[in-house]
Amino acid sequence: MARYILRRFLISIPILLGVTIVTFTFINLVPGDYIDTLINPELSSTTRADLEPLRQQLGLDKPAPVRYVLWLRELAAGNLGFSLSTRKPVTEEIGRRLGPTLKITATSLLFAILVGTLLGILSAMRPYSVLDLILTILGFTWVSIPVFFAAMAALYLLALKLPLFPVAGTGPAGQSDVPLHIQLYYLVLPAGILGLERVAAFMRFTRASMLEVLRQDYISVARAKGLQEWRIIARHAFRNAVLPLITIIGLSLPGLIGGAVIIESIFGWPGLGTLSLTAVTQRDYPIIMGVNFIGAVLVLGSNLLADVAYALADPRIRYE
Amino acid sequence: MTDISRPLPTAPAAPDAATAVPPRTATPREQFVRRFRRHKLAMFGFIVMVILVLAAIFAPLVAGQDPYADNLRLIRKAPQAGHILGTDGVGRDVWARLVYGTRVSLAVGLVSVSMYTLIGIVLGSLAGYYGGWVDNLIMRFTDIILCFPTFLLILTVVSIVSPSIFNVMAVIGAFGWPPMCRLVRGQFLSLRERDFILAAQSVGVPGGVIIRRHMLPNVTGPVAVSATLGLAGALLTEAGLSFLGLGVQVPEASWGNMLFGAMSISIIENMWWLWLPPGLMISLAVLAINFIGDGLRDALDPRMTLD
Amino acid sequence: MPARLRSLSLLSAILVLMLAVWLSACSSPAAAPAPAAQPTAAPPQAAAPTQAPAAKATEAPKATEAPKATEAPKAAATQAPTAAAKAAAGSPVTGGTLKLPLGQNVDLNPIGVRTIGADYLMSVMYDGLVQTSANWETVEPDLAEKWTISPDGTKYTFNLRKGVKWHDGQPFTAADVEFTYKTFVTKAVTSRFAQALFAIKGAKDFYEGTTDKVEGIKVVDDNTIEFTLTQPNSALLTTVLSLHSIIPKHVWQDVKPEELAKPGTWEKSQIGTGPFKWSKYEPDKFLELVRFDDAWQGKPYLDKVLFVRVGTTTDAQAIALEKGELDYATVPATEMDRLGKVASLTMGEKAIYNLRFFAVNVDKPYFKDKRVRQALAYGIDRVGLCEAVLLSVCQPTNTIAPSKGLMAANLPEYKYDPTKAAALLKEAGWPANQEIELSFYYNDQLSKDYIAAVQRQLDKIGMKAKVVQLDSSAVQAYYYQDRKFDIMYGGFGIAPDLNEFAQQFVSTATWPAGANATLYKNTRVDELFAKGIQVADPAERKKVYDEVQTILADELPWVPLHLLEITYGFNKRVQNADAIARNWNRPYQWNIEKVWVSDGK
Repeated sequence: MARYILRRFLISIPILLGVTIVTFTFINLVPGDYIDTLINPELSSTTRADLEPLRQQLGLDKPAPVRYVLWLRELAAGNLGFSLSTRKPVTEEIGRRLGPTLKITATSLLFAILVGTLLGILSAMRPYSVLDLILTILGFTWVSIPVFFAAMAALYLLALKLPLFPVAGTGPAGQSDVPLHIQLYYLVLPAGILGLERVAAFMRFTRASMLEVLRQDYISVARAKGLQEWRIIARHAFRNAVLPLITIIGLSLPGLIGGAVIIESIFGWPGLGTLSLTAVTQRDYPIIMGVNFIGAVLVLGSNLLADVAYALADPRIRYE
Repeated sequence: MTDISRPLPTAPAAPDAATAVPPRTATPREQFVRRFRRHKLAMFGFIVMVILVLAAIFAPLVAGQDPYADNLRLIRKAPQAGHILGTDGVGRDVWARLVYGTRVSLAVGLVSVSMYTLIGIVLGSLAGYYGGWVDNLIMRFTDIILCFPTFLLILTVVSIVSPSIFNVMAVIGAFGWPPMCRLVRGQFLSLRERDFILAAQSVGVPGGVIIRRHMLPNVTGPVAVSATLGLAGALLTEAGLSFLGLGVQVPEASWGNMLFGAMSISIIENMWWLWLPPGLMISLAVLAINFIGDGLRDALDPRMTLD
Repeated sequence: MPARLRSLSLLSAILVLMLAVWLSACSSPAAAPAPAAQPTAAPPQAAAPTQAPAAKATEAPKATEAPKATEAPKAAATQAPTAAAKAAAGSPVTGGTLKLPLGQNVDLNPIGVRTIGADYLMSVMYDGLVQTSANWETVEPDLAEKWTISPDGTKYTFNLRKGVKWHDGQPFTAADVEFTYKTFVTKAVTSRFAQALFAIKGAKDFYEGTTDKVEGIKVVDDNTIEFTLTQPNSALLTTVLSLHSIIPKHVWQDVKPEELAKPGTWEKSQIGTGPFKWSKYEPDKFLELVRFDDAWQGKPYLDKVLFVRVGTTTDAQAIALEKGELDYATVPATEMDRLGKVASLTMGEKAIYNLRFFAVNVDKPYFKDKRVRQALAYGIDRVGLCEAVLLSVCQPTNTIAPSKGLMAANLPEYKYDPTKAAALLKEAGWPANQEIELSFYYNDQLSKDYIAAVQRQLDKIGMKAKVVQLDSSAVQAYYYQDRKFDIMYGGFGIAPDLNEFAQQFVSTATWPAGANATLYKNTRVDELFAKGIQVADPAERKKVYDEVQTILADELPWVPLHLLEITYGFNKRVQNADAIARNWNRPYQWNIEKVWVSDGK
């Protein structure tokens, strides 16, 4: 196993390099550059020529391959370059938004895994029962509501008509040190909406793989032995149904920092989702490259983690 | 923790459908159809889908009027004679747009989902079954695809070809398969070490047959879930793209885009006919597909009894 | 541990790990805030009006452009009795915080490096030499109390206001003005104001680094400064100098220009002369400004102005407004009816001098004939679309001028007439199978609806159009670099002077130095724009620009559609704040020192 992990680790380096090259190429294929985005087409006061000094100061006049090599050199030196728009280190820009983003994404993922798995097991225990049907319909209705619509409706119902929750932000306006319980209060709506969107997925996957397992003979054997149902479920069935869940969790991990663009922008949440969105609309390539690089590391890392987890969950799995 | 130490029954071979089923007069295909037809929810889903597909094909007949015809004197009017679901912001008939929207939404959802389900299953089975360097090669390729930022990808492709929704969905289909691939491969890694597969291999059954006949039926559950959720995802992605200005182009209608156009408090509060119909259609389509998925799985499983 | 148990413990390990991540995310402390210099809240004063500055009487806006405030039904305007009594008596209450929206991703530098969308923040903290009036038609004093222009129109002498203090107590002098303008024309500062200031003698040489002083800027004494121009420029005050914030020399003189160009330099603290001063800033969260007691405008009534980041969608802002988390917000036109019924809000509608138009690529062979463009003007029902689709939050127009006072008389009306339009197209030999691209770069539903309706109307006159929605960042590339467009729906304006349009219509103003996307060429128009900038007499200037409008209305490189308006809402507790409702793109005096909140909170 150690050798396998080491090999995977080594092979990740050329993959990462390749991914950065392709991403950089893509950024440069998109029409418009950072300078263009500074020009408001509705005002006459600025033209592209006016911004030539800025273009030179930012090094945007250099050809793309040269800029890529410069970016690589920054990476080798252990940082991710400087944002074009804020001129601050990319690591600082990402770092500042990592906390708020993790708050939303980790809370909602945690919520989704716990609630979704539990409901999925319940559903699978009595397939096609009334409970199963209700959970299925609710789950799918919920996944088929777009996040933007759910967010607006939640704001309307739970922030406006029933003024239970705040409209936006990570804490009261103008306050710097927000105590934990207030932070949680501001977190409920955005994380709740995102979490509910994901509950259905975990619920359905758990249900499906539990059903596969529950119809195996050894479960019948266990039942025949007179084991209590919850014991069969917890000790025998769920353990064998966990593989797809590991895959889904593994695939969800990179999303932890990918953020939630739409939720973040509706709730005025200063997170990584809005950072990457503005970076793309502003053609701020060091930020795009930085976010994407960290994302790629996370993808590779969590896939490796998932593969190791497979082998631990099911000792029959071998990679050699 | 006492009974943990007891030897657990090992997972037995899931017998090959063709041999395990006691001989009956009906062919497997007939059995499949019969089982599926007895599955009430699946039949419900199937009928809904048939209706939707028919509506999409015969949209001009079902809609009854031009979905693009504006009427500046009838802006956002409630349902009335001639406009059974009212009118939108340009005075267009919501019912007609809903019916024509079925075309775009179904095409978008089904095309991208079947595209990535197919790619995902093929690559995932190969990687999971053969393992070793095949697995390594395919999975590293999957990693690379997973590392691309979808949004940037869409922006780039759209700027090179024209920004039509089908181009966007093709991109999503072509780059959306890695989760499916990882899912199938994860299951296969475990399955291929089971006794019944080892037995099949030892008697010289070709790999392709083992994959199709013996292993794939064992992953239908997760695959069906992933595909149905994927359909919901595709319909919503299409709507979400409108949020970024990359969705269905004016004046085309799709459910997601109609719903996006209704994202306003006044409309949610006072104009149900602008958001409820497309919202219901998305939910209905997703539910229908899901029930079909459930039915397919149960019908394919020889030991599931419905009697 | 039995092998099969591992999966469970693994799963729980992942969960625990995520819980840890989550907790650490929540507990990450915000950057330790510097103890803000909070002013002690002033006791409520009944005699507050005496503090109001006598310097500037607020000019009554012209009838045509007055805010059309639609009062909500006075159902339940319950206010604290004392506050209500005071409000009724019209005597301002001191204290309280005004909460305004903070844009996403704002850059706080006052020197024009990258301030699109944040100019409004500057007008609260800073002053310029001059400012434009509420209706943008006249120039008013700001830090310059008065000014004289030499008869040949090239020398401007500004007499600066005496006794003005910076927020740190230092006196404001002419040296600060000189420093500010030298900063703008320093190349490494990369200010977007630089090019326009090349009108000042020697500015270009200074920019290029050939001299170390700007010949045309001369400090006469502490309170007098003189600008010499290379040639007369009648639009200098309205379109150039009124945009600028004067920054303090003693604070920034030792900072390198490259540093000034960085947004981070301006995020720690800033010093201005405006009625509110810097207190606290947390990027993407809020900016807090507090009252400056020694403001030359007079002591402000409000304690604080708080710019708060709320959701970026307009609906999210409308909800925040309704909940009282914001005191002012622009709202979508579709929300006006609903919000009009909310007792705590006053809704309004205001012209923002933004012209919406169709720019026609006259370089394309099939658009060369002006009858084709005239057919567009006849074939689009500007009045009907404005009323029905845009809910009348617009003013249909037939010329480019952004405000009534600048409009030429007797221009062709182009009343909606699809039959005539179809006939004109036929006459011009429009190829029936020619499909054109109708492009736009807005992403709001009303704009999409507008374009959809226009497409139908074009279809009726026999012009097939395909709609292309652009990513707004690709606009420059699409229109100027690739020149692919046929017809573009765009906006332009908020210009108090028609000279602003020179960039759009003069034949030599091509990209990248200019913005003539249509590639329109007319030597007479070139001449007129060259002349207009030099004529000083207002009546004479109007004649020049009237002729420009007459030519453009006939040749229609742009088909003017309407002047856009905005819809907005105020919390009823805010008093005297009409100015804030105006367009936020351009700094002009908000007179925010006169704003007060009736509940004093």
